[in-house]
Amino acid sequence: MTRYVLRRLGISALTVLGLVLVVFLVTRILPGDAAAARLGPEASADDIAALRASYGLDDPLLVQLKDYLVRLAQGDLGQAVSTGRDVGTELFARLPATIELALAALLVAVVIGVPVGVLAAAHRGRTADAVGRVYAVLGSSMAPFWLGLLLIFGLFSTARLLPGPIGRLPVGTPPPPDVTGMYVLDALLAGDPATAGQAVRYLVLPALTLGIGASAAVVKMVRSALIATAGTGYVRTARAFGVAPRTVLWRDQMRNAMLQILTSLGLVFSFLLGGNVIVEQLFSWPGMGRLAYDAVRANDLEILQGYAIVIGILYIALNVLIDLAYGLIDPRIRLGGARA
Amino acid sequence: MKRHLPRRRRTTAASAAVAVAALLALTACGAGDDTGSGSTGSADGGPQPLVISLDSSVDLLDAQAWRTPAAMVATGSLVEQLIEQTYDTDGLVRTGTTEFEGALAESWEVSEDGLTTTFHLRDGLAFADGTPLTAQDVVWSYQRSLLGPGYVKALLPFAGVPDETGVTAPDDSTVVVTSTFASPLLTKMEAMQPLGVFSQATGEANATDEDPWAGAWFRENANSSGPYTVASYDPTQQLVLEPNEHYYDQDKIANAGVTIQFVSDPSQRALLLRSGEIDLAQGIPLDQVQAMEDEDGLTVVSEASNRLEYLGFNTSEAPFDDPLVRQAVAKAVPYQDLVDQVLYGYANPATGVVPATMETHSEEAGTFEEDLDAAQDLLAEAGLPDGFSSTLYYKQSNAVEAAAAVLVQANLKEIGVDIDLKPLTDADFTSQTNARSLPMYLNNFLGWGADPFYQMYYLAGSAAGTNFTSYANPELDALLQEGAATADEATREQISAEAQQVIYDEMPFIPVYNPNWTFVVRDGVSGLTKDNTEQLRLQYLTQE
Repeated sequence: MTRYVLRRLGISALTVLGLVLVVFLVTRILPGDAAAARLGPEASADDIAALRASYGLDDPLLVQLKDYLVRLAQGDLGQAVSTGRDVGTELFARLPATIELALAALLVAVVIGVPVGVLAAAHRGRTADAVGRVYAVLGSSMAPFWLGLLLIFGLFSTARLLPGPIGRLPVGTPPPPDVTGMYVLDALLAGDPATAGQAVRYLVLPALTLGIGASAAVVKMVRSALIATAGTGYVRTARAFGVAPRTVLWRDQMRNAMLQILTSLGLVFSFLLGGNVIVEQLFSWPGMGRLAYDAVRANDLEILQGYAIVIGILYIALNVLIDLAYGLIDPRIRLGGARA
Repeated sequence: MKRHLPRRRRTTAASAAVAVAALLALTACGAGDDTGSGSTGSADGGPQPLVISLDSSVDLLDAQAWRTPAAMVATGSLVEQLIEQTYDTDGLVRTGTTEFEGALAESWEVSEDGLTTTFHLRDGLAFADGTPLTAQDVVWSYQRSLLGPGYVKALLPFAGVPDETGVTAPDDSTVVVTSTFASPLLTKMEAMQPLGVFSQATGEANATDEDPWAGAWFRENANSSGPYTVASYDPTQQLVLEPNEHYYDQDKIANAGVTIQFVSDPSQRALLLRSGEIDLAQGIPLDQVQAMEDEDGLTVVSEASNRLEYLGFNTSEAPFDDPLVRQAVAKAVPYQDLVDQVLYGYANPATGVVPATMETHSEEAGTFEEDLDAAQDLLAEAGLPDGFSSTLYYKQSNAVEAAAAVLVQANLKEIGVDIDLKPLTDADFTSQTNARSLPMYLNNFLGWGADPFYQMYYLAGSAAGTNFTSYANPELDALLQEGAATADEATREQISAEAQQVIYDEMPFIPVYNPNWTFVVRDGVSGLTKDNTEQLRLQYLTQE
């Protein structure tokens, strides 16, 4: 098991290094000069040159890369060129909002995706299956932006059931004392159910927008994972012994499909963390995605680099955790390395 | 086979169900506590702060270093200037005039040669932290504008104060500003918010060797001399401004505070205004503004503006190095159609580089009218009877410019000019205009202080950073310099008219339209105050 863990961590360290290289190179290719943008049109050429020099933008690419890696190793993500703020601080201040939204969206995806997927698999080839598959196609082909607009129009603008796209809390409501940065949790920890309730209400629309799209992937995954187990020996044997189909579905098929479902949920969660730039923008949600959106417009490479690296590392870390969880759940995996 | 027998165990579905139940319980509880999330309907009956949403977010709090338009408005209310323009009131709107009155300065006098202005500060002035505000703070702030972290360095030099020795404090309540030439522009600038007063003590306490003007501290904090203090600031969500109890004139704060909510999507801003969650909104798409004219509970405020949308050329490269070609294009721009179809009437067709709403506007210079026959004749005269092709660039983020570009393209096609349209990201557009590498582009400009010479210099002066046309005319430069340094009104008007004529004849860029200063407010909101730099002065906003 130790060897498996070490091997997995080693591979992910290399992946992170690869990620940093790609991000570094891609951000250097983008057009535009953030230094000129920051100093404004009245800046003298000398001022711009000085700012560029202070960010090392004039050094050869390899020197820039070396400096970048050294700083990164020290946990320094640099300073935003457009505002002068510390990129790490900026990103981590927004991370909880993004995680809170991603978790809520994951909840939506699971609550919709798992039952629909199970129903579809249990009634394979019948109406429930067809409905599930149509839902999966619709859900995955609906652009989140469009879905978000529909939900805002229906549930806020017309029905007035939920608050509008103005952020995480009503205007004038102070945020709960900062513990995790996730408002719902922090408000509950502070014993303030009213604020927690408000935070949930503001969370519902963006979480639905993100979660419905993700639920389509969950439906497909759960359905195919369950169907794959349907033809196995243990299922046939259990059925032959007269175990009720429902019991076989939940006890045998579901537990064996769990590995695949867990992987897909991990991937879905990573996608929700990094793929919500547009939804955060639409709902004025103050997460990392919105910061990245603004950074693109300001051509702030330092923020973009930091964003891509933080999201990438989160993504890799999640995958490692899932892989390690596999090892715990399924002995075949951790022994696989020894046998090969 | 025993292990196949059922056993009590929580399934994923069951835990999901628990989570959903919890979520629903919370939502229900939240709904019960929701007493109407609008800004009206106060529980204690006192006046409520206004909630507004501008066309951008507030990127930082330094009145000399902000980058976004909303930050210029917000930071302007965290500093107070020596003097302020007076305002004419018309309905819901108050508009800045060229008359000035004392603000931090109780009075001021100008020497006979017009080169020395002596300001006398009021007694008992203080910053928000209660420390006294003295003439030294004013000197420090003016020096900061010249040497500090911001990009307002060009302001004072343009008005005749080339360096920090021009501002002195003979005693704690007297400020003396000495200029190298007499110009009405200096007074206008002294009333502008970037020349408001910062606390020297706060600045020095937060300065470092690398950051002697405390740029980092003032980016996130304020020790206000203006009408508001910062109650809370989250660059991602909102800025909450509270009245400053140490402000020099409490009667000039007409509301109980202003919250600026950063709503990133303009259409969502419109929805929030309709639902009453915000009281005032800027930057709403103009088709929606037009629809709002007829909606109950909303009022559209749209005033003529000096902001100038223009079509710029690269005058150093063919075919736009020929003034005849530039004039031909100017005859092919559908001025009125742009205003009617793209701006839904919330603009005026161009009247010149110095718009009709600005002092010294000249009627003589020439008009901007669509005349395709004349355009074709001019092209032929330039030796291009069969037209030419080029590319028109604009900012991707600007939907109005994108639509305008299409109309311009269609008209130019009529005279045989083939134009490709190319949107650029804001940053790319900035860097390419700075490099003077775009042949044709749509851009806009707002001259600070509503001064005609400032306007013309920054659009057409050969050394101006915002003249992206590569146009350089030493005679025009001399004319503009002379005008900027002239105090006599009649002479100013004459020089200005002469310069406008040169710019019209040479046409390094085409003034296309002046988009209005437009806001939509909930009924009951009034006191929208437009200063000479067309900034919304938050302190005068009121709500019934």
